[in-house]
Amino acid sequence: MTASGNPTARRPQRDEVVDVLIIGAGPSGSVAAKHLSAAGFSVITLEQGHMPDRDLYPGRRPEWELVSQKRWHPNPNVRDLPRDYPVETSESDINPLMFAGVGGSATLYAGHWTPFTPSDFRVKTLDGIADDWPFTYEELFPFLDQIEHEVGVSGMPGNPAYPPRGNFPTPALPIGKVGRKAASGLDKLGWHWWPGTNAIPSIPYNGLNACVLRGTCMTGCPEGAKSTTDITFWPHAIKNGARLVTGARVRHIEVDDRGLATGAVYIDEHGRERRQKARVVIICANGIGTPRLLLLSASARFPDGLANSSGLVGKRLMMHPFSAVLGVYDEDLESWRGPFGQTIDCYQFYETDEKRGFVRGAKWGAMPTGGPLGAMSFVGTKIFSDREATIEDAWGASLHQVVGRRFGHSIVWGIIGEDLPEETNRVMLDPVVTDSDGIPAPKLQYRNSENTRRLLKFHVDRCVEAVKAAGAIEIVVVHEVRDTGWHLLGTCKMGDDPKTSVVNRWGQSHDVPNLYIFDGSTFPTSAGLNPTATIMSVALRQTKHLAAERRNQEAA
Amino acid sequence: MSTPTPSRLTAELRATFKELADVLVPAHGKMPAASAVGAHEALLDDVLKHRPDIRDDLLRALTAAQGREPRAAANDLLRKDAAAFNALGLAVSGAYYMSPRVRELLGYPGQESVAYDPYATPNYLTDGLLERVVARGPIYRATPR
Repeated sequence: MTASGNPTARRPQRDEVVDVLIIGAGPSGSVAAKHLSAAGFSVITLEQGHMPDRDLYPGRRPEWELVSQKRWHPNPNVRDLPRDYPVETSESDINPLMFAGVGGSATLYAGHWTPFTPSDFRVKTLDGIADDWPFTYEELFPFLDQIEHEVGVSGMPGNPAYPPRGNFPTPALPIGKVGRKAASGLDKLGWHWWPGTNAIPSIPYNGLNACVLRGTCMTGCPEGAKSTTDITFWPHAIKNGARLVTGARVRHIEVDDRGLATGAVYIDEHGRERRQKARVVIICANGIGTPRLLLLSASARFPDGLANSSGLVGKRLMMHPFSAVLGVYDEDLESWRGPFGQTIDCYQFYETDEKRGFVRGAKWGAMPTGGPLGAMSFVGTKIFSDREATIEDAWGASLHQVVGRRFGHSIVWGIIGEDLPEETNRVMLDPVVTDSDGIPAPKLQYRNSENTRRLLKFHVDRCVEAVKAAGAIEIVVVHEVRDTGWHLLGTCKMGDDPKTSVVNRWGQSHDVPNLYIFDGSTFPTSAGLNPTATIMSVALRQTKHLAAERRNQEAA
Repeated sequence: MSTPTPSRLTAELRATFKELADVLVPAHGKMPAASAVGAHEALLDDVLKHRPDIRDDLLRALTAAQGREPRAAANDLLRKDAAAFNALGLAVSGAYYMSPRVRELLGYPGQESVAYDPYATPNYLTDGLLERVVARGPIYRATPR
C-alpha cells in the first residue's frame, strides 16, 4: 500500500479509489479521519446522518423539555427519523440509544469523561472473569492524554481513583449547589467523590466555546460548548484533505477473489446505489451498527458474515445496565442548571469485593434534573412517576405538590454498572424490519445477568445511604432503567487468538487483513464507566499503528 | 360504531381540553389552574407545533371526552386508552409549564446561560472537603506486574 505522504494532497473525489474508507463519522471514525489525513492518506468517510446544525438544538427554547421526549430523545425508535435505523428490541431488557450524524451518538451524550481504570484492562488476571485486554492502561495512556487535549476535557487532577497524571487542558467546571450537596453525603460517610471530568471545556478551546452551564447537553449543545467531533475533529480533517460524504448509508462491504476488502456499496441521500473503492476499510459504526454491517456483508466466501470465522460477530453485546436514584432536598439547589455532564462522581465501590456477592462494580455520576417536567423524567423518559397511579395520585393537587417539592431541589445519581460479556447477548439481522432504504435492521437479544442485578442492587442501596446522609427528604429509586443503552460495546471482540476474537490488538480483522474496526465494538470488556474517552483513545492508538505500518499493509 | 377522530382542533374540542386541563392542573396554593394561564389557547397550539406526533391521540381523547363530566371522562381515558390519556397529560403539562407566569411562580428562569470564573478557586479546595478524599489515599487497583 502507498500513501501520498502529503497532507495538502488533492481531496479525493467521490467514486475515486482511496487509501482509506471510513464508515461512520462518530468519535472513533473522526479520530481516524483526522489523523490518517494528517499522515497523508487519501480518506473518504461515509456517514449516514448529516452535519449537525446547532441552531436546531432546542436547549435555549421554552419547548426544550417537550421536544426532548421525541425529536431529541436518544432512542432512535422513539425519534423515528428517516436517518435513524430502527432496532428490534422485543427480546432485549435495554433499549440501545444512538444518533446518526457527524459526531455520532456523542451529539446526544452528556460528555462524562471517565477513562477506564487500570483494573478494567485486567479483569481476568485480577478477578478471574471474562478476558484481559491485549494492552494495559499504561500502554493506552499516552493516546488518552493526546485525545484529551484534542477534545478539550475539563477536570481536576489528583483523583485517587486513577494513577497520578497531569493536568487536564481546561479547568474543572463548577460543581454548583447540586455537586456540593451530593458531595456532602459522601463526605459524611467517608466515601470517595471527585469533581466531574467532562468533555465540556470551561474556557474556549479548539473551536469549542466555554460551557455556560445551560444544562441541556443531552439534546445537543446550542452553545457549541460540548465537545463533539463535528467541531473538534472534522474542521482539521477537512483541512487535511479528507472527504466527508453525509447521507450515505452503507449496504455492505465488498471483497475480491483473495478475500480482501475492496470498498463498500452505499445508498446516497437521493436513494441511488453507489460504490466507494478503497485499499483499506475501517468500520466505526458502533457496537450495533458494526456487527450489523459485517452480517450484511455475508457472501459465498464469507457465508456467516464478513470477518466472522470466530462466530463472535454480534455476540458479547454489552450496554451498561443503569439504575437511577433521585434525591430531593429542602434546600434550593438550582437543579435546572448544568452542566448535565456529571457535577461530581463516585468510585467508592468501583473495584471488585467478592464479599458483596458479585464481581466488578459501578460508577455513580451526580446530575441536575432539568425543568418542571424533570420532576418525573430522566433524559426524555418519564421514569420518576408511578405508571399505575390514578388521576388523583399523579395529577391535580398531587402534581403541584410533587413539582413544588422536587423542581429545583433534586439530584439524580446515575449508576453505571459493569456489564460482563455473554455470548447470548447479541446483535442479529431482523428478518422483517428494515431501515428507510430497505436494508435489514438489527435485532437484539439481551438479558441482564444475575451479576448485574446483584451489582445494581448493592450500588443502589449504598447510593441511597449517601443520599440520606446528605439530608434527602424524598428518595425515588428506579432499577434497571430500560432507555439507557448509551454504551454499545463488545460485539467484535479484540484479541490475539483468531478463534476467540474478531480483530487483533490493532483493530485489524483476523480474516480480512485490510479491514479494521476502531469503535467500541472491539472492547473485550465494558468497565463500569462511560466509554467515549477510551473509545477515542483506542481509535487513536489503532490509527497511529495503521499509519506506521502503511508499507506492510496488504491491500486489494 | 365508534366516532371517527376529527382531523382538526375545533373550538368545541378546545373547550373540552380546557375543562380536562383544569381537572389535571387545578388551582393549588399560589399556582393557578391551567386555564387561568391560557394552557388551552396559544400554549396548546405551541405544544402541537412542537409535538405533532401526539395530535391524533389528543384529538381522540378530546372527542371521547366531549360533552361528558370532565373528571369522569379523564378517569375513563386513563383506564381505557392510555395513549390518548398520555397525549392529553403531556399536552396539558407541556403547555402549563411553558407558561411564563407559571415559570415565574416556580422560580424557573428556563435553561439559562450562567456566567462564572473558570479560574476561581472552588470552595471545596479551601474548606477541606476534597482534601479529605485525597487524604484517604488511592482506591484504584494497579495493573498487575
